[in-house]
Amino acid sequence: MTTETAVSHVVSSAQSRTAATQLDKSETPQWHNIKAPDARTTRTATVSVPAGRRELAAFLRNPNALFGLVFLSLMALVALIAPIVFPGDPLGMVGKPFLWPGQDAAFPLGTDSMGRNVLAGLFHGARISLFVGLTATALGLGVGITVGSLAGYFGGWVDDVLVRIIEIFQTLPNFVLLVVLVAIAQPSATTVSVAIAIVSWPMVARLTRAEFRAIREKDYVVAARSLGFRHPRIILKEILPNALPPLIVTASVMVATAILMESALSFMGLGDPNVVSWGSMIGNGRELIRTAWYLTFLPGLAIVFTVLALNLIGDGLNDALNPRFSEERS
Amino acid sequence: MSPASSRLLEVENLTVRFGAADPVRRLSFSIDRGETVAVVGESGSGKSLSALALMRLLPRNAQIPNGRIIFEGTDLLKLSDRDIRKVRGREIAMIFQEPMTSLNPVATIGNQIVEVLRLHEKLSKKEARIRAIELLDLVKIPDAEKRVDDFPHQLSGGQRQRVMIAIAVACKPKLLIADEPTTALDATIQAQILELLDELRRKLSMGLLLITHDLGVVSRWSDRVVVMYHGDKLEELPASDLFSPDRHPYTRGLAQASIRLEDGVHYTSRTLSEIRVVKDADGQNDYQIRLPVPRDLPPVANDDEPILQVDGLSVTYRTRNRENRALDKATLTLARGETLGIVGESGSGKSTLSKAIMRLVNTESGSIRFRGQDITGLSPNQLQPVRRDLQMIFQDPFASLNPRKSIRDILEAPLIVHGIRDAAERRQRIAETFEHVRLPLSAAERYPHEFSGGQRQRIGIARALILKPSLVICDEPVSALDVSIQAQILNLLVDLKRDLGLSYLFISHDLAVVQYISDRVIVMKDSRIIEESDHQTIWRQPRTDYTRALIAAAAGGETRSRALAS
Repeated sequence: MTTETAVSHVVSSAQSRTAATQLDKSETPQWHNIKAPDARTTRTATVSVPAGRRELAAFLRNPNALFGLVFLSLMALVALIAPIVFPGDPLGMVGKPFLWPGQDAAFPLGTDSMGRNVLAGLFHGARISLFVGLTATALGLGVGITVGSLAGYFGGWVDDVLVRIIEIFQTLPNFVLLVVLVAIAQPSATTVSVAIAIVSWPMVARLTRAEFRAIREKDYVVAARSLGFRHPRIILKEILPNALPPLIVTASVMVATAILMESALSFMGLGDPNVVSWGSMIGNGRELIRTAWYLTFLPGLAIVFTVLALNLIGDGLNDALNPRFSEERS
Repeated sequence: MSPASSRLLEVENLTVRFGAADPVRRLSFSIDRGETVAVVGESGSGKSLSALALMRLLPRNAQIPNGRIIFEGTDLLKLSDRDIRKVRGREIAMIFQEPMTSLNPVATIGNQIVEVLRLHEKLSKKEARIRAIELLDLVKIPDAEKRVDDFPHQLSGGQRQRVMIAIAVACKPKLLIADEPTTALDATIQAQILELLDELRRKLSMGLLLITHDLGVVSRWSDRVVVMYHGDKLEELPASDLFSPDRHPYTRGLAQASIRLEDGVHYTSRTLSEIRVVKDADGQNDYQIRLPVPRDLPPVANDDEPILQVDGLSVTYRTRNRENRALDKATLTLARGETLGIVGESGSGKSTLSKAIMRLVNTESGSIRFRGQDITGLSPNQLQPVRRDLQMIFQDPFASLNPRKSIRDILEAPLIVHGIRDAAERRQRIAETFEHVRLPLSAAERYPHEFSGGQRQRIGIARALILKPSLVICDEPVSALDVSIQAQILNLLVDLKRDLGLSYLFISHDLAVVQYISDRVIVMKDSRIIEESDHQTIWRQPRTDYTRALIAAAAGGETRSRALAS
């Protein structure tokens, strides 16, 4: 290779260092060492969106997810204002029985066979459904992520033992186990939530374990180990944030499943008899389904829409957290 | 189509559009029958997209707003989906970079060839099977008759690429597109595959479109070269002119930045040529070459106490029913301030050696002494102070940085873990390290995905340096980088070694890179160290046949260009 005179900025390394330190002040930094398609020449490129915002933007652009989010917020609002709008016990008899929706302005959605206000029942029922859905999911996620991450990260005998435990839970039919658990414990919103969490954590554990096993082998985790990071730090700060996207998606579906399970329990009369829930309303109305179908239809509708909203949110999150998909959409 | 016309493919003003961006702009080139045309460029140059556009295989959200692709007189862009399917595989075939993933793992290789044959030609199963065996024979798979019922996992990487080629040429296409066909393969196999492609081109009189980043490959195996940068075609030239001086500045920069074994350049004598591209005031690309600067570094004094002594180190990976000796009685020493190069092909145990020294895998026997201390049996707590001094740079700058953490977090975490509690001191250390690796401080608040490959590798180097180590293990640090970036990173590593008094254990499959940066070289094969020599002797007087074969394969890339140039 000849040393001809060419277009050359031969920046000595001493100069380049001063240039690097002055970067904050000067608009056009003189890095002699950086290739063209970089942060300097492509400052306005789409890639410079801070992590997190892109996902949010992609989520909000999705009309289905947006609908789900709006509906769920509405339900949360309903649950919050229920004691203000309908003070008193929603199980109390307040009017004539079998008033059809629209028949009496005082009871826009009518009354049931005992003269209880259906609208008040739906409002208060939202509290139970959402409480059970969120608590059961939170508990299930907590246990599942802990067990799954330990099994996936450490492998070996830890993994063997934990996977056996997961398998024991998974081989029992979910709903039968749930019924037994609730039958043993005193039925209340809390015990129902705990029981649902007990039947739902194994799925989370399996998913977390699979994610951890894959991410454990990534170079950045090896790098963290080579830097002397301890296990908790690697698990919590290096691996977990990268394992979250599928877990978040699962969580939204878990809330929906928990609401359905609670409704099923209440429908069978295994829920807390002292509170109204959507499931118990359907259970009470089922014998009158031919004469007063609205008693089962209205709480059914509430369940359907809430579960649908949660599923739409789950889908939306799935798309938003998968960068390739959201790019293809936009 | 008149028989007089020798033109096979003519691409005119092809533009590929993704949303607001045009990753390929107004590209024109042509291929004649039986000709090999190479498209060269670095990552992001649009070379692979152009190839996909020819087959109309672009992702759904890509558009082709203008341009024509005339293949044998018909414009491929105007064909219906049904008609283009008849062209794909039969008229134009393609082979991809990754032989590990482009074959279906649950079908035998024979059936995969038969499938393509019967899709395009009316053949009975029996006839197709005979043809499949002929094809395997053609691509030089030994014992084709027996191997035809093998599954892909029973074949080596090179054999799988041969099967891919057999599938591609099954219907005797007129044009074969090879997208980085040898990048994932070892050097000795690379040469064989390229030779095979060239032979098939002659036998079947196909046109060959070779897409690559490797200038050595281009100069040896192609007739004409199209150089692309960032979506633009910069120039088109005969392959023999690739290394001549009066080329486009970018081409010249690329040619100068790629290190060739035959040049015998060593870091103690001069820097590597770097190329950079800057946008000038009119938004035009300005291509600048930084010519090599002579350097006069003293050779390493070897009388010091060695910083690293590895003695009889063995590593065995055990799964439930299998044992795999990944490292067999490795013995080496590394002097203070020395760079020890380790070369070997994939599976030779180089990475296991580096991980064993880092104490990231369990060792079976042998000892590792680092700065006079035996670290083989240390507990994680006892290792903590050692880790400060012993750091590692990884191969893939895209996999080695946690995508969810900002650069500041990535660099700060090691400091926190190693007990630097004062936030001001940590900031100071980060600023210092940024200066060392020549990154602007503003980079600290950004996330890994916002950086190019070269910048990411600088961040990886910064992470290794932030604890001020004395020994850095570089595991293929430039293998995933473009030629121009490779030169920059190698220059940087040499500067850092000089300024910070580092020692390197430098692992690479690329002999030219090892030749440039190493003071001594070790050759590994099948989990063992088979040869060790100083950096001059090993290239001139290799002792083993294997080393000779490696050198021949690495040098092969340049022989033709040399012959043509002289």
